[in-house]
Amino acid sequence: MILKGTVWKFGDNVTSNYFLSGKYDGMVRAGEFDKLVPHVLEDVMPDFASRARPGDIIVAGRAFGTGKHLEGLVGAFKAMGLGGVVAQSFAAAWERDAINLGLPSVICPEVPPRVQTGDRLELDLAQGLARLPGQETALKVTPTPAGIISILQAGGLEAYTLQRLGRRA
Amino acid sequence: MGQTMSEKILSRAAGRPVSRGDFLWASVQTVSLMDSSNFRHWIRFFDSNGLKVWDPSRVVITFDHLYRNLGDGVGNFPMIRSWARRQDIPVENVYDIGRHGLSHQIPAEHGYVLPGTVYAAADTQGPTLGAFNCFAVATLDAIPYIMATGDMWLRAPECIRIVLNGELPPGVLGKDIYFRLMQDLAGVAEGRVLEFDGPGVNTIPLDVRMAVANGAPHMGALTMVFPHDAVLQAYLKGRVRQGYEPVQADPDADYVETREYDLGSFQPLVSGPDDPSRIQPLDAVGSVGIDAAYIGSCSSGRMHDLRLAADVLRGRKVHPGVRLVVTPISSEVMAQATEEGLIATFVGAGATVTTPGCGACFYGNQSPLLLDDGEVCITGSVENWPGRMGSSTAKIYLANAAVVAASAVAGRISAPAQRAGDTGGKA
Repeated sequence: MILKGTVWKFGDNVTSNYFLSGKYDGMVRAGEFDKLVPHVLEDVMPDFASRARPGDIIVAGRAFGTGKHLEGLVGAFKAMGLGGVVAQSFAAAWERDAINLGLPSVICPEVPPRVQTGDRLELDLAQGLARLPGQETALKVTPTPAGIISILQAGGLEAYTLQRLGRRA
Repeated sequence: MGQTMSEKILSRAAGRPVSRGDFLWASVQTVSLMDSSNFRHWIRFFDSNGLKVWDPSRVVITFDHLYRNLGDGVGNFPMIRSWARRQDIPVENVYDIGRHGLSHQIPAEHGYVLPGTVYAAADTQGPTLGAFNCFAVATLDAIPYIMATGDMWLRAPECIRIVLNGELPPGVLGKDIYFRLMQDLAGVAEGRVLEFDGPGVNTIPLDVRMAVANGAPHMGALTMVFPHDAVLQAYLKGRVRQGYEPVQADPDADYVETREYDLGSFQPLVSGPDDPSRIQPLDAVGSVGIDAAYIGSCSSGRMHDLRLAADVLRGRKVHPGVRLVVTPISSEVMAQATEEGLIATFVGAGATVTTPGCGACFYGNQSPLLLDDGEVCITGSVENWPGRMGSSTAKIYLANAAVVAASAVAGRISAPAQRAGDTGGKA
């Protein structure tokens, strides 16, 4: 599995509330993730939702994703077509929920210090190889465990569980 | 290099030795779910795929968020009961009205939670049961898939060792401990597990340990694990449904960090409003008048909390401008509190006591506490985000149950010792 896209860089301790206000809980509960998209980062970076392209990658520092109602933000990121989140570390609930819902969220401490918003990033999760701007050779980075890649490739834990039980793809 | 408690439990659950960073599928001992879960979707998952729960005897269903059938996807009691029957989940495992209580208490009281095992919870505060020397994880919407296979994916976590010495001062509770840890370990605890150790642990009542572990989600930690000791053993005796093998950390276990605390240095803290991480010492809180006070939830509805609150309220009256609601965490705790005369103390002081469960501690609650626009509340419950206990313009402060009781008497946020001369009134 390879993440390939433009970087949106964030710092340490970025909470889910920073990306999406709790006032949209109603849309989250109704599963209206498409409607959440224009509200992602609306207070801090109002043009984010219109400028982000499918495949773009959120890159953050330590402790990404503390806060509440994570499924809403995961759903909004998926609705935007974002490629995933690469961080130095995650709040435990973010990592679990995102992977279970099929949004790549991978720990790769080597990448965040080396990229900025607007950079092109290509990250081979299984091999642990990052292609960064201005570098001839790919950088060896922390690979994502094969078990997590399998869940992501299935599209999330529901589909992966059905595969494991031999029910359907 | 030796193993942490987490690594020992997960090695056992994976059937092979694991160490930090390893991906694994862990066999789950017990799965706990509650009435507010997304049952409509879950039932569709099982029914449309012709699936059965892997081991119905290990599934515990509690009615805690709601007091009656709302006829909707959540809290649809008849739908939950009938699904449990179709899945051969023993009727005893469905903690229906009369035996009901919170999902972070019932599985412990009734012996489903075993030291040395993995416990998976549908509710966010699942790590609470890490007080039982088990690996307790909240997995929310992944619960149906875990019930289908009996295992869950994990990465063996990095662990932080918290060494406790000394003894807690009187009137200091679990909330005060995790608030301080939350302050100290911001940027450190996220994604990791806190493991407790040291001679101070044995001096802390089990109820307080549960309230400490209850704080894991707010710290962004995966869970907390307490050691097995005589206190835990005494509680489990006569409750556990099968034998168990506790774990203890090796002396050379691979911790990423160790922090040492003197329990005597802890003090009552207050969090809020609007953000659990906004924490200050009780002494530093200015004059804050209150309209409502709540004792209950998976953070403050246990016997130890109720006893301390009753000590404050005995022979006193709740301020006439304040409504104090007490919600015991479970039917068992309510029975015990009745036997000890605590319920009479609460009602005599002018509080009201409701049916057990989560009470006022969640958006959409049906409690008589339900907060109106602009009201100010002090609560022993879990969170203070805007809207958490009713109106999103209400202001919520979190504190331990004794502080809540003292504040209810004074009419403003107060320390138990200061209650006598305080006439109260909203600031």
